[in-house]
Amino acid sequence: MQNASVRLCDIPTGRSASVLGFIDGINFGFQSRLLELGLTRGCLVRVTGLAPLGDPMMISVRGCQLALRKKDAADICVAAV
Amino acid sequence: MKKITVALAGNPNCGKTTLFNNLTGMRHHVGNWPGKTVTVEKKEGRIVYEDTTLEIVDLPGTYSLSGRSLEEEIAVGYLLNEKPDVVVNIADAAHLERNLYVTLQLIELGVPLVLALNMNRYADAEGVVIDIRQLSQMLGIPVVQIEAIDETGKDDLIKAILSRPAPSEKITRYDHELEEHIREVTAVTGSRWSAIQALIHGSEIPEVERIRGHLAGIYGVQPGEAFADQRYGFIAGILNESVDHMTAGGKNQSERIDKVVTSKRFGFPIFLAVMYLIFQIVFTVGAPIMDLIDEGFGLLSGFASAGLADIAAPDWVLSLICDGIIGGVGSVVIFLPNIFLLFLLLSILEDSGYLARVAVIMDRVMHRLGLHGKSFIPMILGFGCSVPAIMAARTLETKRERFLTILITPFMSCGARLPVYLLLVGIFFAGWSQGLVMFSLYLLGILVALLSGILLGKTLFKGESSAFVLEMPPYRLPTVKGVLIHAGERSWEFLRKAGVIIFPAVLLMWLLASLPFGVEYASSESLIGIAGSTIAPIFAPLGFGFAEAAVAILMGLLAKEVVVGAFGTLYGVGEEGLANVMMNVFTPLSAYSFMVFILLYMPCLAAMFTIRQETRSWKMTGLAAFGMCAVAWIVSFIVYQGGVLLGFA
Repeated sequence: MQNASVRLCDIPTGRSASVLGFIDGINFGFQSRLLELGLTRGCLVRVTGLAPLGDPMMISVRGCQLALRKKDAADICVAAV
Repeated sequence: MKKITVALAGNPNCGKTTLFNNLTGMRHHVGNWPGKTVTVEKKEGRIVYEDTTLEIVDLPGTYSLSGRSLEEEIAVGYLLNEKPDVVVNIADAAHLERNLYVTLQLIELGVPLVLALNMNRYADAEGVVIDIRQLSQMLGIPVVQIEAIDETGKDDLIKAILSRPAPSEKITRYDHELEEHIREVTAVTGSRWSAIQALIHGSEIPEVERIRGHLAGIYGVQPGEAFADQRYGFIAGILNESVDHMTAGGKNQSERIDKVVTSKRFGFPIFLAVMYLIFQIVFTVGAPIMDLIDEGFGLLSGFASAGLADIAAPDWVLSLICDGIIGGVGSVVIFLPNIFLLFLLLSILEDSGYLARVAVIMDRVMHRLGLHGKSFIPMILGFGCSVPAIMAARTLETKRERFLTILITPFMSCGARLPVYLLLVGIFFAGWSQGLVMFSLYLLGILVALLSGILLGKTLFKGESSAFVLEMPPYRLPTVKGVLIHAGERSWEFLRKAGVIIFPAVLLMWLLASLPFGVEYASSESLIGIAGSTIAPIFAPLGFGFAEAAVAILMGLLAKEVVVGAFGTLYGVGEEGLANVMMNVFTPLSAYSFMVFILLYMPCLAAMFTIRQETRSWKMTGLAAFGMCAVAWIVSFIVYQGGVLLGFA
């Protein structure tokens, strides 16, 4: 439903974004996991860094640090703030 | 004496197992959750407090109780079916927002609950002030503050458990729309919990699916998203009332450490340095202890043979006890110092939070190969011993990745292969090339493991590597007690598993080496010697087609370090005389080919036994055994024939 917007993988290190939703066709289990970890709509996400080879990316969500692959982060629609 | 059962539940990395270890001390046992296709560790223990025995069960750490992963399935299954008297939900006070998600689900599940806030000192340091009474009131359950690593709050926790709290009445209330449909579905499924689960995850009941479609239309998102939104909204409300956050957000300490540890410039150098340090410590500190154990078993064997000679025991008894039992058990026990040290250091890495970073650093490489960053952790452990390494594959989420990791891990050069390399490299290579040859073998193991991973991933285990979401727990200073318990437990498990399989196998091998009656132990007339000369031609194209090498390879199935001892026995010489004999039967090229074969062929029986245990599949076990022998033969063939072509023979 949000296919045109900015994706989490586009957010550069050090910047924040707020979650808008997920792309259509995202893996259901993966989406559920992200929701449980707190990536719900309106939640603020900060990109804290990239692994040495440029992937996965590391983000801070609700005070916790998570790592996820850019490929998977492309399924998360965000608005840069 | 009253008896109550207490289950510990909570997020991974919240200190659940630390609390379990602290409460039960060493009075616990590690088992497995029954009836599953793969193994998940189950820890149970008991404590006695005044007139009550508390039976404590450590549930797997979960971010949710949706039952999608194996761990969640086990946790929910236990809570619903076994109905523990009290559930203690351990939550990381410094990450309360995320941790309360499971708390809400536990309340929804209707279990008698106590919330134990852990890691309060980290929350304090970050300026988080929690109003315990307010939190307790809003959740409708007793809340206590503890520090899992010491005695802080232990009494409060036990008293709260013994007060036998009733299930909370402060069940999450969703908005009008959701509540209405929850009621509707509850009429079908029987309980509020199962109704919510069905609405989130879908169901086979057409009525439920119709309602899910209806909700998706209203919210514009899947029902699961609406539930998660509202749960986190509810949590925000609770935190708003009960938590004061004094510091302005900003980078915390872990993030600052990660700026260096996972940086482009230092990420890999630090990782390599840490690995190098671990192997240095394991081998340099472990070596003298190993020598002591070796001497100890030598003395024991000497005493035994002297004692048996005194009572005029027949030769076969002497051989059974000295060659078979003492030699066989000794060959396993001797690796205990290495393995304990390795586990100790790896526990430190794990408890400090660094191991999660290793998975992140390596994920890019592993992903290219169709694997998961987390697969790298068992592979590293495989340098110590395949048995615990195979068990470490439990942390992988999908069966595909677990099985793949289990199958490739034994290619990593374990400690038991080392004596073989030490012997042959010492004889056939000199000076600087020794280190290079050793290094090349370790590297070859990694390469073959990764290539097998690619091959298996494209054939038997088709599929994408699962999405990678990994929590990076904050860096924490590991505690001595925690690390010791951790390492002790794993070493003990290694010893026990090895013992279970090694002992009968030792007897069998001894029998094969001693029969028919009257032959010299493991000589060419013995059954094993006959078997050796029968299969020896198979190894001719690899450069070592003689019976003694074949017997050594057969004996190596028992445990790979036995290979050296087997040569000694077969040629009737001690370790000193072995060099001369080896010079006659091997060339540097065939010795290298032999080491490659030893590196890659079927792992020891203890490892095979573990593969069987962990996969619960004879097919997988057979595949591992046959596949590894085939790979070993092919690679050795390429090495030897290639070497001959290049003129190294």
